[in-house]
Amino acid sequence: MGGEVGGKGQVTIFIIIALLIITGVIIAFFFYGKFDILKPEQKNPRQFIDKCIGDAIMPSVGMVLENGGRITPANYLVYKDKEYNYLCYTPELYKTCTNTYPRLKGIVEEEIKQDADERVKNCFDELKLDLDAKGYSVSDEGIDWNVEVLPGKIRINVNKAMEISKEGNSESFNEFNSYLVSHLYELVMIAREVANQESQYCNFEYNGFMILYPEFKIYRIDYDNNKIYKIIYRKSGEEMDFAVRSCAFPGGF
Amino acid sequence: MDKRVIESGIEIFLLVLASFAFAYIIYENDKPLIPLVKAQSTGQVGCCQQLINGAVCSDTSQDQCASGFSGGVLCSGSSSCSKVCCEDLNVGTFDKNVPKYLCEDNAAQKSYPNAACNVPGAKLGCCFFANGDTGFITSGQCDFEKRNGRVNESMAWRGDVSEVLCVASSLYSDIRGACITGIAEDGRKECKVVTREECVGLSGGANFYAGALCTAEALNTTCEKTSETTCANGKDEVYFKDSCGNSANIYDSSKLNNNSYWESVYSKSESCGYGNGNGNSSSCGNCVRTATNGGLCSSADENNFNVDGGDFYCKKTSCTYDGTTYKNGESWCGYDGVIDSGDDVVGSRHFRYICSEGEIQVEPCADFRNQICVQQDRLNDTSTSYNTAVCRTNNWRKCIDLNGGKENLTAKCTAELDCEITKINLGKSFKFDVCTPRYPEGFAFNANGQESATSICGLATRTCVVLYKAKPMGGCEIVENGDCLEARFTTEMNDLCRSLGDCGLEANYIGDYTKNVKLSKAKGFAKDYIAKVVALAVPTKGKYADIGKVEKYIEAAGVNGADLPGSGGALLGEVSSLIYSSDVNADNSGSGTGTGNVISGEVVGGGVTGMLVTSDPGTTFVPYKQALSTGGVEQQVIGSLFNSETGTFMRFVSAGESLPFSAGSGAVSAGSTVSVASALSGTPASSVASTALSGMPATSTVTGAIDLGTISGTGAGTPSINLGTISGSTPAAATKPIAPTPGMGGFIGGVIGGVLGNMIGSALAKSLGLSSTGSFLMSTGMGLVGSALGTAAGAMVTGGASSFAQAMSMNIILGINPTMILIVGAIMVIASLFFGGGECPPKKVTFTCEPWQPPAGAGKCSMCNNDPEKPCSEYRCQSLGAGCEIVNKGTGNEKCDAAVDDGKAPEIKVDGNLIMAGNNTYENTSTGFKVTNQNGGCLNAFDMFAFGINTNELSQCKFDLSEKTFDEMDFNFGSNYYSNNHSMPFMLPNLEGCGLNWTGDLTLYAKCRDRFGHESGYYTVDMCVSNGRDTKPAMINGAYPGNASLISFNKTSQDLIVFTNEPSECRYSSQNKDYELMENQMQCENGCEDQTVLGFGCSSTIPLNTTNNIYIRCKDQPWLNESNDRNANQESLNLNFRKVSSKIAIDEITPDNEIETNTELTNVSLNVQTSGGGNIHLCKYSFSGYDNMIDFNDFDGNKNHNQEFNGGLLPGDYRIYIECYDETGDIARNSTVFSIFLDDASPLITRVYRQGSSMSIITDEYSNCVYSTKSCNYDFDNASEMYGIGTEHSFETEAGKRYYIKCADAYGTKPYRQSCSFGGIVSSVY
Repeated sequence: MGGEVGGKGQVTIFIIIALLIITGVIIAFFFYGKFDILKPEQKNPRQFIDKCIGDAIMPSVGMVLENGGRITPANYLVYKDKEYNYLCYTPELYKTCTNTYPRLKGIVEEEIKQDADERVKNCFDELKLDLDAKGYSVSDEGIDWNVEVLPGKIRINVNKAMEISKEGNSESFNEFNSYLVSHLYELVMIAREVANQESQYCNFEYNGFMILYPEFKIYRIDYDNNKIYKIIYRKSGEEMDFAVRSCAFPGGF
Repeated sequence: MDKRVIESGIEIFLLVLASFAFAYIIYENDKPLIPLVKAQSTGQVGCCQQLINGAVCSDTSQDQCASGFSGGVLCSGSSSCSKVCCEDLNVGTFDKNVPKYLCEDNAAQKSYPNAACNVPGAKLGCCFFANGDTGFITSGQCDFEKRNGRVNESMAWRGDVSEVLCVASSLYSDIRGACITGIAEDGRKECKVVTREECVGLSGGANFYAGALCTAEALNTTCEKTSETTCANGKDEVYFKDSCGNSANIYDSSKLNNNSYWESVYSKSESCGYGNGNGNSSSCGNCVRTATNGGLCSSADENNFNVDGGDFYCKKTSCTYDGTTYKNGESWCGYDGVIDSGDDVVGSRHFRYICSEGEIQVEPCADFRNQICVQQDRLNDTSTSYNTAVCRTNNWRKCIDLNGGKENLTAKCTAELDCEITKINLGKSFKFDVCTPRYPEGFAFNANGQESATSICGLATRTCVVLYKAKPMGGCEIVENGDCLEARFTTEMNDLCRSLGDCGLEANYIGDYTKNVKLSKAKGFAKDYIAKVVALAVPTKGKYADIGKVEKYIEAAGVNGADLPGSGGALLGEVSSLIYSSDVNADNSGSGTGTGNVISGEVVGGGVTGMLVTSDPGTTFVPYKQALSTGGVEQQVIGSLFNSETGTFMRFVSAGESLPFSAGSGAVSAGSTVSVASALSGTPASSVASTALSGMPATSTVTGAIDLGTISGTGAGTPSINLGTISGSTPAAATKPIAPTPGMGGFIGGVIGGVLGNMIGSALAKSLGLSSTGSFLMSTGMGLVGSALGTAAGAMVTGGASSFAQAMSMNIILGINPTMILIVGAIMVIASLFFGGGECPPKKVTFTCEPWQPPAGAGKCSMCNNDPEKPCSEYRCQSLGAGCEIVNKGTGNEKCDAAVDDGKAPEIKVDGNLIMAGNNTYENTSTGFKVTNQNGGCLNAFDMFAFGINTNELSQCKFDLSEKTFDEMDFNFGSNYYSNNHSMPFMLPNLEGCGLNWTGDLTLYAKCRDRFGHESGYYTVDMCVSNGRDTKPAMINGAYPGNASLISFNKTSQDLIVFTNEPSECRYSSQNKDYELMENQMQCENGCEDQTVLGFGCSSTIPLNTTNNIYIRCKDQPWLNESNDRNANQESLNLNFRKVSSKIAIDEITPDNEIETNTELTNVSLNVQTSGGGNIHLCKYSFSGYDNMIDFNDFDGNKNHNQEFNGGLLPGDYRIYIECYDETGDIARNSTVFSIFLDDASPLITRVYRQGSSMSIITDEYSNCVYSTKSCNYDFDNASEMYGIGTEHSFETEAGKRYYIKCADAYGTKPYRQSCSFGGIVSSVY
């Protein structure tokens, strides 16, 4: 049959296919390079900032959870090489402790903001540099931002005016608010409750509390007239640790 | 003077010092028995708000303060550091007990003086969230949640729902169903299993199918059944999971392929294993965490559990401890050994265990048994046993404290929590009660702890005096306190000792015991008793500490469910009276007082042997044997005379002992002193120069015969008895051998028989306890009997008689035949039996209770680390061995480990500073040091001074007056605990006051032993007491009560005691005059054993109705009677007692009427004003009467007293009983009655009327009113305000409109958001 393809034809076909593949790869490489230059976040700075701020905040959230509401514990107990911030403390014997962290939620928010401030600002610097590098014109103003610890989440409110323009087109931004899923609020509220009860009764009946509120797990370690509380939100595994010294007894007398 | 005698005297003195050491501590230092310990010294420098270390509101020095320093002000009195309630205005939360300055440093906060937050806004209620959850929070917090869009507007916040109901509302509001959220590309529906509320948020709620699952076939969703399982937030159960990720029904492996099980929601009761917790079930996920076999959804992988399907299972939540299974949430107590009744062992601790979801959490109660674990089996709603345990404060301090007062001790003690009466009843005059803690406290092994321990253990240091009387037929019989000589005394006293704390013979928690008691004349511990003590280290299963009668305290405190405050405050007590009374039975009599001219004195209980005086130049006193150490060993040989002329010893015996060597028929003892010249030396009479011990020449000498010598004796204060001379009857024939004759044989036989008879008689008299007369008659009679028999026997031997009867009738001596002698002797023997009643001195039996010390060594330290359920602590560790110590302290990784043992005995050095501080000096010697006065001379008797030694490692040190082994040494160098510094007060006695004229040297032999048992050699302390006549008058060391002391208003007399530094007689007068002219003699205790560390006491009762101003003078050396050598004070001690001008009175108590409140609990501030009385006023209160009163937490002693009830009082009627007292002991009582009315209702609108376009309303109480035209559901704060204040309000209206009115009262109480005030919906119709 004249229509049959011979051996040489087959080779030709293979060569053509190979060329097509190579061409495709080159084209794909070309387009890939194009994607690399036009990152999605450059198209949507909000997404970039959202992710960046989330990454900036999370370490601070972890630290305030670990250090009883502070980035760096102020008055703390050392137990097994770890520092536990006192939320309620008295240096005296027999006496109930003094609740040293009223407005704990506010303090936690301030601590997070202070600790993450530079990183959050860096997010915008990074965005600007990146956009500049890609030929965007960016004009911005100062940043004002805060953290709100809310039930089930952390809201980061960023007020920053930013205008991005290129080739006659521009887009303006005034705020970059983002959320993090966290139960820091719930943990802070329980820590408050522990401190309040310890300051009044020298005790927090965590066992009964756990039965009533099973979504939380509470460990207590009694150590040298101190109590270390570890509060865990079961679902997320988030844990807040702190110490209390209340109604201490003298050693032998 | 014999050194032994001196030592005896000094030993007594030392015992006295030791006995009164406790009293000294109390009296001299004016410190409480159980000191309040502060973790940090206040230093009186100032209150700091923010310390450098991050702490807040602490008293500290300025350099430790970061900010807010107030010099000279204590934080307790600082306004900025006062505790307040702090509201977070942003969130609506209220925090209790916040330092005021911390609450006022931020505009977002508001402070309330009520630190316990009994303020209206702080009331907790139930906040209903939009998703069906609830929160038990404040209304402000609920508003905060609302602002964040979480709150169900229709229900919002309810203040009348309890926390349990609120949580239950959340659980039961969770009616789930399938919620269609959209349409998938394939046309099937997208679905979520949620509550209706949640469905509203997801899709508006229109497509909610209650009770259906997304896998229901009819719904045609994208969700399909799977074999996967999951846990749900806040739920116990394991659920199947559909392909959309929804939780379906409870996991049941048998229903994986059961289609109907995937159609609709099955309730718990319809699911598998209902009624069982399903813990560790592989097939059923119907977990109930609180059930007996409880379970909770957990990952099977993480727990290596094989489950039939899915990845989750009901992980067992119950726990097993010591063979008992506990449900989740149950708590129970664990102990180291037997508890209660004072049996808690050293190093032991109470532990609380909690079963927390299958894990046992350990909660150690406060160490040193400052807390005890109490347990109670409760019935829960399923009527099954449910254990609840709690660590609560151990009230041991109060028990010890109560011993300070004697009145109604039993009643007070038994009524007190954790206290019990320990009764000692070992005799008529040795019975007493001590209030002891049921759970005795532990003592720290550091110096502070041990010093306090010494004081407390000392409560069980007692001396029992066993009294005897002579029996008519001889011998002594016990008339009082005989049980003190039995084993009962030792064991019962040790039980008392143990019950006071870590004292006495006691075991640690691993069963190793040490004996920390000293026994004097008491029986030792029997093995079975020690075994019983050791067995206390094994806990008794099922035995728990008593919860105690806390109700009365709660009642007295008026506390509503709040914990009782720790009892740490009430520590102070006058234990001194008890201590002083501890020796009420002590009888210090018995000192030797005889002064006969041969040997005088009696050796009686506690006495000192007499002195030997002999004028015979040929005799010297040779120490023979120590007569006694402490308390007198009766009838011991105390010495002998060596006659250098004869080369013979003459033996001396003390009272009651018959002469062992008597001569012929005439050799008898007399009185308390017996002596005899050697008669049996075998030396011919002619060559024997008998020596009369009295110094008198022999009253007769028979030449050529054996000289029987002169026998004389003098009892204590009794004339000498001279029996005269009994001579042989045979003429002397110095140069001619004496042929044996019946007479001679009889005579020799008589002598031998007489001697033997006398010996037997003496021994018999002694065994019968005959008096001196009886002893004389017995020994003489027996001597005569023996002599008669001997004479007869001699006559027979020499052939003078052919038969015994013949011999007995021969006139051998002076025409007297043996029969007559026999008869006379027999009569004397019989007569002697009527002269019983020898000396029967009392016997003092002493039990000294000392703080418990760990066994030497460090071999068992690691045992502290082995039990994770009973974590180690410093106290536990150190109780295992003196060489054990905690390493990695303060890191949480503490381990009990052995300290470094250098393998050497401790090195001892003198503490020179201590000696120099007492204005004395010292010099080192080759074996120790010597203490001298500043001039290098001897020390004055009765001058108190201190000396001490230091060791290069922790050691116990002891000393004695002679070289003994460490364990045999009688005296602790300071205390018995391990320390580097060992010091003690010391006073050289003037033994002249004890009947001894001693001035001389004294050497103490000390030894120290380290924690590993390495013992030093002897370390000597040399000193001497000054010679010479005493020319200084006695010094009055102190008086109680002291000058200017206040006296009770009603008192008509005052007991007074003064202490002098040497035995003295004291007098007092209302005028300052010479001692001799003073009219009133005081009662002085001047015996050698009466001496205390404070000196010798003289007491009297001063009538106060005649004078409150007295002068006291004393005169020393009372034993000199009227001698001019005595010295009287030239100046008086003036004591001016001040009787209070009026008795303490309670002038005012507030509150005393009605208190209106709008909170469930109301803080009440109780204020009491007192007047009159002394300078220090203190008050107590009780809600239940005057029996169980509680000290005000206000100890400044002024006349304004305040007690805050910050826990809050419930509405109701109250009577509070008040008792105030001053330092004179006077008390005043009164009570106050008041009521608390709860007004938590919002104002009612009682009248509405219109005046033109203005609408007016009248409320039933002062109010602030607002209105809205929309509905009742509006924010009060954002609504339109009405005009007017008080109860009348008005606003402008428009015709035809309806107005919704809300009014808030003065406390801010207003209707709930969705409600209007009662009568507050009005229409304006013109």
